[in-house]
Amino acid sequence: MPAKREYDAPGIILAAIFILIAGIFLNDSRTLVDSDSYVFPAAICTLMIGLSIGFIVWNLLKPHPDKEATPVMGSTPRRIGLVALMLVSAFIMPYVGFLPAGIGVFATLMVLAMFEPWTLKRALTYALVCVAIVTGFYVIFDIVFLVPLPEMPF
Amino acid sequence: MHGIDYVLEAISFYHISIALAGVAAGTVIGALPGLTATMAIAVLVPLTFSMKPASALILMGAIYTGAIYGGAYSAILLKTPGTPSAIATTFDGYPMAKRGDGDLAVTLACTSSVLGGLIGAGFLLGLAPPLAKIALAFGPVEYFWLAIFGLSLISALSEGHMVKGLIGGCFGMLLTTIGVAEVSADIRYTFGSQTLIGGIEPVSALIGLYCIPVLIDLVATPARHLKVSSESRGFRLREALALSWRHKFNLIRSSVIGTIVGILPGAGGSIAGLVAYSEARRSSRRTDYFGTGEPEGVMASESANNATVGGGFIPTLVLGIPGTPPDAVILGALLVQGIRTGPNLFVGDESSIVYVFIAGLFVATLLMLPTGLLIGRYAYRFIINVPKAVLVPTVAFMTIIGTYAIRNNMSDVVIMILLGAIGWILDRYGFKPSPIVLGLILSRIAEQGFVQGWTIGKARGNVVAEFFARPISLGIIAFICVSMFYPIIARRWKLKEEPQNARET
Repeated sequence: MPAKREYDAPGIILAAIFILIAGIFLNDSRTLVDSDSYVFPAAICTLMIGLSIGFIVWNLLKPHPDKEATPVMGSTPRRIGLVALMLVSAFIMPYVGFLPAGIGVFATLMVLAMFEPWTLKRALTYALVCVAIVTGFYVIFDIVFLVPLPEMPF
Repeated sequence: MHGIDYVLEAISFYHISIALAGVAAGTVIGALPGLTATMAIAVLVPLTFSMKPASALILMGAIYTGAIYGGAYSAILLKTPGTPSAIATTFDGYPMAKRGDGDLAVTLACTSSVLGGLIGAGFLLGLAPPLAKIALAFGPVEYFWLAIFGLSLISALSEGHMVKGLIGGCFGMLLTTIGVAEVSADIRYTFGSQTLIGGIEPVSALIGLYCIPVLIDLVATPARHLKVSSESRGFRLREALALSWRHKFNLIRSSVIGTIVGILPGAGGSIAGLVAYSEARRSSRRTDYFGTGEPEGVMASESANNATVGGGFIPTLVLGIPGTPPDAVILGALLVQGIRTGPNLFVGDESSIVYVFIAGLFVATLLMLPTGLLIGRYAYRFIINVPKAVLVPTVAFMTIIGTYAIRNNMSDVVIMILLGAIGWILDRYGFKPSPIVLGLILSRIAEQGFVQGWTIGKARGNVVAEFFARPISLGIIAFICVSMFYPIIARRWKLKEEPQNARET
């Protein structure tokens, strides 16, 4: 059976968003006085708008054979949880310090990424691994490479 | 001292020990995203002050060469280039690892890096003074076209969505324009945000775009992220050597490209890897397989980026102009030692330092073979055997701390995570991360070259001639055209020939 021809709706929406982004940048370019500052970004914005418009028009005039979109496999809450936890770690680290924030977030990420049942032995082993890895990172970056990691406030 | 004396000095127990330690330390540091070769050398520079100049150079060269190779591990096993030089390694290295050939990819990266490093060092030994003149022949316009040559790879990396790839490339370039302008130093596109004044750091952005989508998918399912073979296959060295022999021209060409790009100040290993990858793809019989786990891609990228080590030392030692960022640190360390770089360094009283160092660089590069294979094997085993509940937080943590370490700035971490999440969404709808990353990495060189070329052209009254009438520029433009259109033309020829062949048979 021939493939159904369909519009790439998400692609069209994303192309429209790219046009919007380029438009905002282009508009902001008007605040720049020195031509050296805006000639290159303005050229990129114009190219991006042209390509996005071309993509949208081409898609509307000549829809593609429907390619099966890759289905989202697995747990969406875990995905959102990962991004949220990483963001939380970035926000709390300057206030709480690297080691406490790191151990807390690392342990929560371990729980998030665990697909097997927890046992006491496993929990204890993973807790030790968590402390060892975070401390290891602290030693490598803070002590060896002198990266000023956020300090504990007390 | 004569030739043999330099070699004997370089293979003394002391020099072999520091070269081995340097290569091992560099490899481990390079494998950690965010820790670059420049940082590794900068941290260890104080250790070299008490050493003899040749020993100091050998240690720094060994760290440098090890770090450039180490970047391949995370590129292959985690789709996160440990150093920007390994960007092109992710294109085929990670797909190889996904299908169960990660061990072969790591071994190929090692053998190719060794060959590339040896060829780069060979050029440094034999042709340093004449080759240094190439660096002086490159003006801003040539750098602009070189960046465009790198960007021409978008056509190969768009995975069937050429226009989406080009839009992604533009998006990447636009992201880099945020913050302080490259030439005029105006603050632009910050929209009143203090955080954005520093701009978007390209390395943290590429960590986000490559690594966060992998983590997002990794955390969602219990399945292993790399396919594991049931039987033990060792290092797969014989297979890697056979592949290297079969693709020897690719390896040599990529190493020469790496050396030449390394000579150009500011260009660096990432451009070398991308240009070599582009050329390998163009000239391969398996063009269509590039990006899906083609060993030739890994070989091209890894041989080229390690060849930049020797190439980068050419302008550093002959002209006193650092070819790559780590060379700038090494140059500083040499000045502290009281060494004056310049053409006389190769003929004067201090020539013994240079020649012992070059011999030491050969030794360090050769030592990378056993060291790299051994570390690579353990890295591969660790990644495939470690439970997901440990792997996910470790990699997530590595991206956070690695990004923070680049500028000691937590805002970079937030931007990295957000870009990663956006990258995951874009990837699902056909806007692949690689073109965005190419835009991010090459935009600064492209803008600087474009604006300077444009200003010079305006002052001379002919902007078009400035961009299109210089011989080196024309040569690069020709390569860009071939790189962009050859695959399309070749595919059409193939399609034309197929029915003809069918009729004949």
